[in-house]
Amino acid sequence: MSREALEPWHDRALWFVRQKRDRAARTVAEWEELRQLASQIKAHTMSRLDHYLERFERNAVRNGIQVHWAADAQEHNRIVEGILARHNVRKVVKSKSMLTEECGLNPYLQARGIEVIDTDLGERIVQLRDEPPSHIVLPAIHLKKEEVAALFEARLGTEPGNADPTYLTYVARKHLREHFLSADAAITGVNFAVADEGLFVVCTNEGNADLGTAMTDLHIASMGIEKVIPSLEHLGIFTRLLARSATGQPVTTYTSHFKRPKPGGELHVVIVDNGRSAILGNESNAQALHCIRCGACMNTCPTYRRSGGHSYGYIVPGPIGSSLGASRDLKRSGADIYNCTLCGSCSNVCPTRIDLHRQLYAWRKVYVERGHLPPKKRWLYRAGAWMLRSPVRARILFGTAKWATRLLPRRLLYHPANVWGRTRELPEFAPKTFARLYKERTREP
Amino acid sequence: MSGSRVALFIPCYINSFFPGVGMATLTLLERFGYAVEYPEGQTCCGQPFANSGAHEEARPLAEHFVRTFSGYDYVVAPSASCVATVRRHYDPYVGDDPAYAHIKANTYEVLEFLHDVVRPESFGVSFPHSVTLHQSCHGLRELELGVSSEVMLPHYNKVLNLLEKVEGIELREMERADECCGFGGTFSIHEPEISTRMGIDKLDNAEATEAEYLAGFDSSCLMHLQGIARRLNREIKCVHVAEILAGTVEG
Amino acid sequence: MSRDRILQAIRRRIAVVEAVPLPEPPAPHRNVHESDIRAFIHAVESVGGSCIDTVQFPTPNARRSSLKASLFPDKDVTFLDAHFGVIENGACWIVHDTGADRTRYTLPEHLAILLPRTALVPTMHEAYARVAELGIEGFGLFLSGPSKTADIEQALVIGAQGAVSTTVVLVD
Repeated sequence: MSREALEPWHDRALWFVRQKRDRAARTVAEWEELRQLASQIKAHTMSRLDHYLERFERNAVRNGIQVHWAADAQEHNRIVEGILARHNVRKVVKSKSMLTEECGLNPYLQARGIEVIDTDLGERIVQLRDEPPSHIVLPAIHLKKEEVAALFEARLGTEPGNADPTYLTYVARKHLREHFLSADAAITGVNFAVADEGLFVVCTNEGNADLGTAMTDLHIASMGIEKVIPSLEHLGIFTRLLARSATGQPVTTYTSHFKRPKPGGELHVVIVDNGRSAILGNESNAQALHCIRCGACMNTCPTYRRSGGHSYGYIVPGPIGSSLGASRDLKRSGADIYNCTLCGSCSNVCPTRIDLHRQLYAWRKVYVERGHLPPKKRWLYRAGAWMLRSPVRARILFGTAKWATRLLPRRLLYHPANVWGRTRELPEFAPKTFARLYKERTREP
Repeated sequence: MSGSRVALFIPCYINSFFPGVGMATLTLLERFGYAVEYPEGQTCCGQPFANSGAHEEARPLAEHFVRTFSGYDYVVAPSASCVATVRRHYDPYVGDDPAYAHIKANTYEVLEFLHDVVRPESFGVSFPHSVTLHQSCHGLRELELGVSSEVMLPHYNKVLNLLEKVEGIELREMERADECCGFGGTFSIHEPEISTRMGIDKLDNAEATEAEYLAGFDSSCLMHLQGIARRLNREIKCVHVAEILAGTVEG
Repeated sequence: MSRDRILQAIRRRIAVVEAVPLPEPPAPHRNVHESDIRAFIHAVESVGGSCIDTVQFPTPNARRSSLKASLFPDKDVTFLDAHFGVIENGACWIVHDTGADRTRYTLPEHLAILLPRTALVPTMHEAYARVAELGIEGFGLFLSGPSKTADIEQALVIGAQGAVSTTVVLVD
């Protein structure tokens, strides 16, 4: 089943973000060097990941942070719930974390009587709509302001028909502050975990991570094993790349460094594997672990912009999501790894120089080798290659096609089975092939 | 240098649908003194299969390509995506074949060949028309015919450099000139709606320049755009850059 | 124990990975110059903040009460101190005392950040070198402009959840 194209405004909105990224990147003369450095730092860290994780843990524990390890999503959820239960937490405020989405934390906690409020505005919007985010940085990019207005009118009691983004945001501000005030704990993600310091960094534009963690005394931070970086100085490189790549800002409004629990408070970090270690060392897709979740690949991807995040099979969409999703469930991500023209723009915008389009190319090989291609397609490729392998058979194939286009009535030629012909005229066969013209030409005296 | 033996690789779809592009390529090479041969046994380079993950099918095609095109100084093709396949994706199939090393280093897309090897001062042609250039992805990003807009490096573009040598030509840059046109090989069949939407957007951007011609350096892109244009009764004329340089554009 | 399983899994996988050296720290090209106050002011404004340089005022006003009276007569402003500012992005490294109530960085509607005019660094590279020198007690914050979001149809809204306005006040 092929996907539908979204309305053109979706594409325009994301292209606008791509342009903002370009403008910001252009202001940094050493932009391409920074990308190269970021790539090397990540590659180095992955090549010694055990060392850096142990170092991070050692230093974090020394700082008074409680460190937990979760092999998979279920264990992550159990650990988080266990901490919350010990503190009799009824309500949790959560800032953006794709990892917690991946683990399905919200429904897990909700099923056990703990209310979870996603506090990033875009995430709150999709939470109220009971749907997943469609972009990892711009969760509600698939919605028009009128849709948000209708949602807020129903759920937050806003003025009917008022779709002014500033008004809606201010109402959300008040609504979320009530939740911050009445929350018992805060859950955040981790953008970077610094091994040398035993601290971690959370970047936001809204300040919702800071609000939640400032107003409660229990802070749980979920991080994937790949989030660790060696030293503080490396933050210099990543913070210069992240926001510019994501939204075109020179830096996120809040870059918060958490090193010790508040006096009288608790600070927990849950380190999660959930399939990440299996990606290490795979030449064809190991670089997927270098992702710093900026979303630039989505903004530049011409197919993502026109199909939207909800058309993807994995919680993270776009080029990086297709590769990560494939590493989890290749069959389910099949449609996604083929929702790509291999244009290569994604690899060029990735701040850590992940070879994204090459990964999708490589996944396709594995997909076919594992036998996931529908039999009809498999047969078509085999037959096609057999015909094209021999000059004689290829001539017969093209010759037959040429006469078919000449002789068949349009109705048959453009039968819906002709997928090309649904939206395009077939190319016209020239009266003489190049081969024929060349022969005639060289025959002339 | 002139006098070198050049093998012409004409991809199957150009052979059948755009032989004029092949002839323009031949014309240009001969104009600059190359001894051109067209190995008759040539077949598909295997790109559609390689790109789709069907490597079992691509392998014999790659092997055949190396056999067919061994023994020449250069292999030149008017198809950036096919050349990208031969140079960048053949290693798993023929990397061990000693004949492949020379082919890998000496297979060129025709405009690349003109720009890097021939380096003509002029083409001796005039084309007093307005032209907007679509920057096909494989040529631009895989063969580095230019620096794409998302890359923060000093800008260059080999194709525009060549076109600038054509008398009377007026080059107009379209919005999103290097955004993918949506063909993507089998993608055009796997995701026809997205593919078509991308093509329509590319046509809209081209038409907004009000240029008489939409030029490209990959006939597969042009085939897709032309197909959409014809279906929608859009009048825009698609042309391969080689035809402009050879002076063989009709009308 | 999951910790051991995870670490073992990692070790197994990276056993085949060649060692990749850590790169040398970068030597940034300077299109940003140290002590370029104008560039800093421009950066602060570009991220939605305001900047007041008290050097322009006839009398040096280092006392908060007089600053508040003269600069923010009508606003309920919370004053913060910054160790230094970053020219490329208008960010301030906020002075945080251990145990200080962190809600002061996000709850108040209006923030005024007192920043010594000579304490400017060009980029985040130099910024983190300064952070390393200063050390982080328990918490540290780079604050760049007021809280913002574009989550509703990419329309920029200032004052999403935290401060609605931030004014960097350059002092001696």
